[in-house]
Amino acid sequence: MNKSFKSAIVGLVIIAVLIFLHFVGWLAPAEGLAVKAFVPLQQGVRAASGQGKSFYDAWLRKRDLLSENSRLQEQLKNNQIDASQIKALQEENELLKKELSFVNENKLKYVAAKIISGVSDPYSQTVVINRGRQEGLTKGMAVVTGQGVLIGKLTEVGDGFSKVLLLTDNMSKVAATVQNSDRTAGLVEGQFGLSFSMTNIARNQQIKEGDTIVTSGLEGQIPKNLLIAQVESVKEVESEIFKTAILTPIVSFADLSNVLVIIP
Amino acid sequence: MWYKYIIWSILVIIAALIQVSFSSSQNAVLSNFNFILAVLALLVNLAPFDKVVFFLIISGLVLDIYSSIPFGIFLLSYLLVAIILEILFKNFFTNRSFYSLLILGIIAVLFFNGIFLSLSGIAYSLGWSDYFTNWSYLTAVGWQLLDNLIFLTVAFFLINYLSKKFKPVFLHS
Repeated sequence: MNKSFKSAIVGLVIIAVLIFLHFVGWLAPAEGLAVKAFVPLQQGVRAASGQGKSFYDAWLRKRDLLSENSRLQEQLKNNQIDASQIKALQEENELLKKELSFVNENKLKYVAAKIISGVSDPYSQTVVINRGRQEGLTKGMAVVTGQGVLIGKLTEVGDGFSKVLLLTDNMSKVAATVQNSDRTAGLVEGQFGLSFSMTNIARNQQIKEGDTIVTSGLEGQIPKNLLIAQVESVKEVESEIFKTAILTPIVSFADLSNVLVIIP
Repeated sequence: MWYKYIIWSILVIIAALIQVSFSSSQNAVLSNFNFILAVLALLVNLAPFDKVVFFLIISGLVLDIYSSIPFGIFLLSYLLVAIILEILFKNFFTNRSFYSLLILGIIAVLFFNGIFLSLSGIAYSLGWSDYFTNWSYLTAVGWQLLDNLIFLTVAFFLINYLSKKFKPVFLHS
């Protein structure tokens, strides 16, 4: 009989005796005593495990707080995005209301469009809008802001998009008049993308600083009296037969977002 | 010599009380950690079997005192597992390698739960106990396996670092 087997048998016998003593109740005083004796030890173990648990709980809390923090940050970011979207929608709403009032007052037919991009070439002052042939747009139509200020005309119309040549482009030419008693006529031309001027003004016609320039209506696709700009200064050279007026844009061409295409 | 047994007894009682405090924990990872069983798997590798029996009788006694199932189930379960582990260790897992320790740990958990469930089931069937288990016990066994394997892994490398007890011994002729 080897040593392990002997130990196992001894163990079994001890356990059998313990079980017997337990069930006959003789072990009860010893058990009670043991429990009482273990109290300090158990309190120590409990305190230690409590500390371990509180460390673990603190770690869990920290983990939860970190995860909550990142969730709240994400939520804050989303809220900021929402707020920004709401603000953009409010601005768009205001703008659309103004546009509506302008077109309602002038009884014009129009197609509202959104500027979706500039163009890829660095040479022209052109923007792309999200309306095209399907909406009844054709080349040459006037494009205005919500307040009715002319910003350009359509140069290319495609399916679902159109290109608008802005007044500031060198290639842009629009027949215009001065809102005065003479109805001074001329041509609004772009100035290297920076500004525009009114040319071909007859020397005998009146024009002065602060005058308002509007469309003349001579171009079939562009209705008359659409606001274009104000006169900043007038350039008059003795040897030339025409005068030139430097114009100040009424709207900033850099901040355009929603426009109306006027249907003649 | 006798004082060694007293120190041993106190240490084992502390281990058993740790086990009791683990079992009453609300945390699944801790409450299913069978500390005694993990130490038992280690001791089978490291200590003579009489000390293993001494360890399991003291710890089993403490656990049975604090248990609501019939007295003796912990004692018997631990002893039977210890016998099985000793047989396996002596005949199959003699090299004290990391893998044999882990396999012994797994076997210990599986056999302990099998024996424990059988004994408590018999006690319940005979009307000696009002407590038996349900299917959630299987989850507990899963946690127990994981906990014990982690403990044995850490213990193996720690003991290996501090002593030569788990290092292979080569005989030179």
